Amino acid sequence: MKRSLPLAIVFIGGVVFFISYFVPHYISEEILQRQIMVEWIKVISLFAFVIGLYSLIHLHVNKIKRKVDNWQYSILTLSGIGVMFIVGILLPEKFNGGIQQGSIYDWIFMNLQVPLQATMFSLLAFYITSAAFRAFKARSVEATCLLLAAVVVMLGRVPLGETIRSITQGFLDFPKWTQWILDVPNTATKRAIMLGVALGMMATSLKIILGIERSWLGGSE
Amino acid sequence: MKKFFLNIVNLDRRWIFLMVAIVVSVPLFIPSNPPIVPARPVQELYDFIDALPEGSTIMVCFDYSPDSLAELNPMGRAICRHAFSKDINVIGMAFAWPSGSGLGQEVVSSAAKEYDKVQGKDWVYFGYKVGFAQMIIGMGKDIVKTVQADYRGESLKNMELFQEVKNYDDVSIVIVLAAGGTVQTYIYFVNTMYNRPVSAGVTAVMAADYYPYLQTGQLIGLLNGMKGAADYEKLINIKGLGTRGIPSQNWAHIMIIILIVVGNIAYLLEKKQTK
Amino acid sequence: MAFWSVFGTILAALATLAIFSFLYKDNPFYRSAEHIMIGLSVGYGLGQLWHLGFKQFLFDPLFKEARYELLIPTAIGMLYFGFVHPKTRWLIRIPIAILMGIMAGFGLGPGMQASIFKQVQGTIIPLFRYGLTVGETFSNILLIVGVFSAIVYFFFSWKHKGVVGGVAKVGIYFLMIGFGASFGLTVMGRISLLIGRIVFLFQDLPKVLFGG
Repeated sequence: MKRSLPLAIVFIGGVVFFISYFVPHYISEEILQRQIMVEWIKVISLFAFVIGLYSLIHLHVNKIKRKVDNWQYSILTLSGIGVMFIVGILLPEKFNGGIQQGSIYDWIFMNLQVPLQATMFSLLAFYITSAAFRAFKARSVEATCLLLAAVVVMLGRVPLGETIRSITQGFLDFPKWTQWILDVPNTATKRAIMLGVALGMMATSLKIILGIERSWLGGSE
Repeated sequence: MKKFFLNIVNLDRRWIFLMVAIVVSVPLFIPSNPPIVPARPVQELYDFIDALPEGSTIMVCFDYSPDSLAELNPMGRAICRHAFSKDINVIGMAFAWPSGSGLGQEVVSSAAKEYDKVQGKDWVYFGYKVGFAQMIIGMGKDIVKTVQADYRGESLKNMELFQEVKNYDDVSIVIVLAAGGTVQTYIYFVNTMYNRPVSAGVTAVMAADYYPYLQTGQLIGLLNGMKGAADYEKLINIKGLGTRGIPSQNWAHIMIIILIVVGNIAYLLEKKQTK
Repeated sequence: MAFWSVFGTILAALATLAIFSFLYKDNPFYRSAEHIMIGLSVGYGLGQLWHLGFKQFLFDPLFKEARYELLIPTAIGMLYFGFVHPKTRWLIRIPIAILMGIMAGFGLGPGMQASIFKQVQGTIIPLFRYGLTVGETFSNILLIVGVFSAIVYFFFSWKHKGVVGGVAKVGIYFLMIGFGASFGLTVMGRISLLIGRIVFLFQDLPKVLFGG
């Protein structure tokens, strides 16, 4: 029951909805696709997020309770969630509550979350430069191909490429070479990878529907 | 000289960090007008939107969070401004990530304000909705029934725009600004299932992966990173973040190429020495 | 309003600097900023989920429009709460099974069409045709050779020896050029993100603080 019921649901859902894609009938389009797939699944998905939130809060509360290393920072995380919960959900709109433009929630998002998140990812610029300097070496013919393609693309995507083209009167045309690399060898390799990934996904989907792939069921129970 | 190259590879990485910061910052203080020549895929999207008749509707999907803001926000701004300047209606949404919701709202509403566009008639913003793929599939049948209400919670039923726009058949193109793999979902359902045009503006990191879709015509045009945004800004003749950032991008690339060359010389010298 | 705008911009600058401080070394300012970011990010999602999810798709249709059929997905969704107790934990598999079954089945058709059939079709291109330039013919040949050889490289059922080994080797060169292009663009993307913050610090921030 604990394993066979979910496996039966996956099988029936998979087969029925696979067929429904190809059958333009009222039952398939209105009931299966619109009513069940769109309306109902939206509601089911809502609860999945609640579980995610529960897990995160549980993790940080435990850290604080057990006073593990750096537990103080967990208070900040929980405070962040709490503040947004209060101003976004509990606080009435007449006190600038809610999620609309101009609300406290929106102000915190724009002035704190946006700069924090944007800066966090901008750190990668420093690390990729350092990595390129230390590790990007022409150790073999293959590595040289990679290095040359990268350098051509880096030059072709910035105004320096245009300037070199003008100076050499079109002889060293980095922007054109860049576009060609992206359009031909890059397209060819990405397509080969895509075909492999797509076939793998199809195979995995079929294995899930047919109950061959069961790792998603979790533990042995 | 040889000693210099052999020692430089052991340089504390914080010196390299400092160099990056200087090289990116200094060009912002020096007025310059670097040549920006729009790439072909950017021109394709521009031409498509430019050829749309007045009163057409486009969808712009803000599938990114603040971490990719520098690359994708200027694209969104440029596309919305282009559309509004041609009296094309814009439907904005951010179904993929909740954190894209506020960013998209700011981009669409500020562009609409600039061109005196009326919410509900000339533009609508849906914001975030749960059930990403389901929403995309559902909108192909009935936008109002699927989405139900806009970002403010107002029902779409009575909005002027949705008296005309029922589903994707009434939308000229769906433009996806994405920092993740969501473009594929739109290609699967909007393009393949409903046979409607899809275009994309993506972060430079993932841009190379979408060229196969460009070659098959599954994507109409492709905006690639900050340069893609700068190209589009050039085409509509505005100076947004994309254009402002290009001089810094230029010098940063030059520095990185020099660093790669220096690193390789050091590597060759080291190899020769060990032999 | 102006005060809040200026204060917000100063706060944003401080947040930016707190994260940048990590470049020197790990420190409490960075750690605090990092944890606040996670909390705010989750809290922001919660607000969106409540107003644009629970309210719009569940409570309003259920209580204002009396669409009681939505109680069925609600009941299914609530099975997720089985997660909290070991004895009921298996119940979580039911909503997961519904989501996985439906999306795996429905996604098969368009997935095959978009990522396999259309891609194969895009590789069946003319090598010689009236009006095709030498350069275009050369590119088309390279595209076909590139796709084929890269696929052979990823085909591990045959040993990469002899002809297969040779073709796989060609595939490696194509792959390296493709990855090189990706790396070049990755560098560009990462630098762009930094430019966004530097433009904020050196152009937008002074404008808000000192006008102009």
